[in-house]
Amino acid sequence: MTAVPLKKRIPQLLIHLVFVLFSLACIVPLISVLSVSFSNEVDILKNGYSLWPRQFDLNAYTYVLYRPLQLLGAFKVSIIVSVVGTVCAVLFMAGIAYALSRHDYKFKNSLSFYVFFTMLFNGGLVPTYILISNYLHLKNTIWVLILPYLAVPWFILLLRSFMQKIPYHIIESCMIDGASEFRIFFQIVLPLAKPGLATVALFTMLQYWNDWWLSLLYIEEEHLVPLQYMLYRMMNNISFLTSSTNMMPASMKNVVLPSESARMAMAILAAGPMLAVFPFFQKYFVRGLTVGAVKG
Amino acid sequence: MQRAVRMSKLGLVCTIILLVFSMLAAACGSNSSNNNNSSGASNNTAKNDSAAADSSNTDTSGNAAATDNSGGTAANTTADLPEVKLTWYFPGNWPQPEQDKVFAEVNKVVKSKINATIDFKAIPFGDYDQKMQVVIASGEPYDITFTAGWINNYTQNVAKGAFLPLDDLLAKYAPQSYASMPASFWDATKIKGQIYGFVNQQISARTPAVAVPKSLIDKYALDMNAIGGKIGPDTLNLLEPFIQAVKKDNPQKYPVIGIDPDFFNVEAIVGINVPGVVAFNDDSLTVVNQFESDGFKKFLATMRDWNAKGYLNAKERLSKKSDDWVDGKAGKFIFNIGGAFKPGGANLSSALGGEPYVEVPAGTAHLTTGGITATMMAINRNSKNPERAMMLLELLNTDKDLYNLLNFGIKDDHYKIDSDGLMIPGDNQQGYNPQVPWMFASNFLANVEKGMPADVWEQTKKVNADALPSKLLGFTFDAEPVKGEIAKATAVWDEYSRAINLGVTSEEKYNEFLSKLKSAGAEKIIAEMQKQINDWKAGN
Repeated sequence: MTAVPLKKRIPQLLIHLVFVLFSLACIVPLISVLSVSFSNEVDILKNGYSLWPRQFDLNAYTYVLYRPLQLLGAFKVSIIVSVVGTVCAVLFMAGIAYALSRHDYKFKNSLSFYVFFTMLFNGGLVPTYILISNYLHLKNTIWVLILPYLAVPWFILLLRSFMQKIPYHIIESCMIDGASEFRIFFQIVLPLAKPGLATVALFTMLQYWNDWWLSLLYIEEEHLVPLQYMLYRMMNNISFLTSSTNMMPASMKNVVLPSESARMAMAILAAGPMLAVFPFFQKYFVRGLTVGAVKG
Repeated sequence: MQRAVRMSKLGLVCTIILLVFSMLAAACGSNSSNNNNSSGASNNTAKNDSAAADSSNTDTSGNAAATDNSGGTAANTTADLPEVKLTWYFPGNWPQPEQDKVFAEVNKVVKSKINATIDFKAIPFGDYDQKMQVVIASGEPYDITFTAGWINNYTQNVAKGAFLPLDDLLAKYAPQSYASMPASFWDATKIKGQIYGFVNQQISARTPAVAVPKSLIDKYALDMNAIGGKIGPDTLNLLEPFIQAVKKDNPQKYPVIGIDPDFFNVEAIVGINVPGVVAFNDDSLTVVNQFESDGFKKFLATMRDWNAKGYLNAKERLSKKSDDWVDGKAGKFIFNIGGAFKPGGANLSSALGGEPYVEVPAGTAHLTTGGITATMMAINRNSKNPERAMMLLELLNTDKDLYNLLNFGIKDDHYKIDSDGLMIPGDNQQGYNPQVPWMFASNFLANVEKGMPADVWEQTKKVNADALPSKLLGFTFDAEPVKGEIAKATAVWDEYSRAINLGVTSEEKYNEFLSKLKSAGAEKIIAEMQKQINDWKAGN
């Protein structure tokens, strides 16, 4: 312990204070959700939320875990979709982006335009739905959750401009050494583009993990419902039932909703594992982002 | 090269930040863009539908001819019916953990009775509107769908040509259900003279319920019979002595009065939140602005008075958008006026309120189009088997066991019948308990729950029959021409309604509210309503 002069300590303390407050702002809501999920329903009604359950109660969890297979199934779907989706999507997009980045590619401009065009215009909801459900027959398959996000034009253009920074001389010299196009792509370009790929992978993964829209439209079978959709469905039902509509059938007005603590328990069960897993992944993401890019 | 590396890193950081923000923005904006999508979608479809309608006409006639011989008898002779599969979309508190088991049982029965199996598409409430929009717009094959004024909008779908007119099918394949309801019910569903919706009977007459905790009634000697049917905006002070007495010992308790069109004895054309109502006793069918009516002013004055006397705990309640039974469970209600009165309804209030409640109707019940068309089934215009779909609806509306199976699950598992013949929860009720009896078919076939009067359905039928039919029965408003104004007026109402309800609105604020409504287009809305009503009157 070396004594730090007071003058230096005050700004340091201030900075610490700011970050302590910031951390609190992040962690307090989480703790209160956790606390509510363990609270007794009546306690919440009478005294409002608290950071520590007044009475430890596992009712909410027994309610939510009444059929644990449902929740586990949803986890499984979400994980499969996120992992398979991210790997496929990154490979796919890197492929297109690489082709677009090569200035000796003949159809570069027209293909670029083709990709760029879909960023501005799309088919719209109903035509897309008709295509996917009536022509491709993808409804109620796991593919419908993966395929639509395989090629996101924004990410493709991002990767393209990233790859354009890789000096063409490298590729050229590989060619002279007799490497095939595939070898150049997999062994030279992809490793050099790692930081870009990592960024795109992170965002693609988040997109897959957080998506409920595709499952709302195309999934009707319980075993294919991903986690986010399950949560969304529950919350959406509640907001639908509480929004006052005087046209509803008389008996509708009083439907019993899942209790506050059950909702929180659900949120904890859904978010919890991700909270534990994410920090480990994060390490790789950060490393991926900071790996020195191109060596000249 | 060093520089290039640094540049690319900087670029990367910038891109990441940009992406993060764009994601946030996307998350915030996603709702509205979805809405845009869907409204655009519904415009697109008009064309599709009319094209499809043409082809389906030939289709159905061919089918009708094929099954004519069996349909004539309609008496469940399966022998000569070819096996078909019917797709049925309906909303509810889905999914239920054991729904597949129950649906399989239902299919066994349906198979034996009309040689059909049902493909159940049980959609959660919140998703149903969206889902049906794309299903109908894309022309995906289905046979039956739940429709109403409040979800999967009936009038709009009929206007799009999505549903099949049912008049002939009803007469031929569902004579029992057709006869079981008064003609006024069928009239309410008619659009341009044709029936498109098969009504699931339930409590259709509307008046708010006055629900009071039994403990308070006993302690403070409230005569429920004296107030039943007499509560309206002019007569709220009947309840004042009771409030005063309760309040003295329990300052934390307060009365809850929902602002409901039925409470003001008017029929709201769109809803209480949109200006434009017709008084139930008005023969000339003049549309007026409810917020400028005497009844509303009287209500406003009473609420102000009560707030001044400290009855309403306005400060505490103002922060919440609406009162719900959660507060009731916390023991805060002196009474609750709202919802809709129905025989046996106190059972539910007691469950929600956590203590026994007693209910009486607030005023005279009225029969409105909205009340009747709140629960209906429609058949897809492109359905391959419309007559079998109708047979299924008839079966569900006449076969008590089948209906209760679909509704409450498997006997002695999901529910039980006690020695008095009343229904009690089974050991495994959590496995299947969708709580939507009015959704599958006529509610009057349901098992009577313990705590309800044994003749609850007889009583309900009587309430329906005794209710005064609205003079607007059969009229449905097409909101399309004034959609924008309605949205604006609703926003104004949302801004002021809570303060009005809690009596914290000054005269000045009230006038501000009226003038804001005016600039939102209240007069235009009312004029459009009047025009449509006049046209409708002329057409009848």
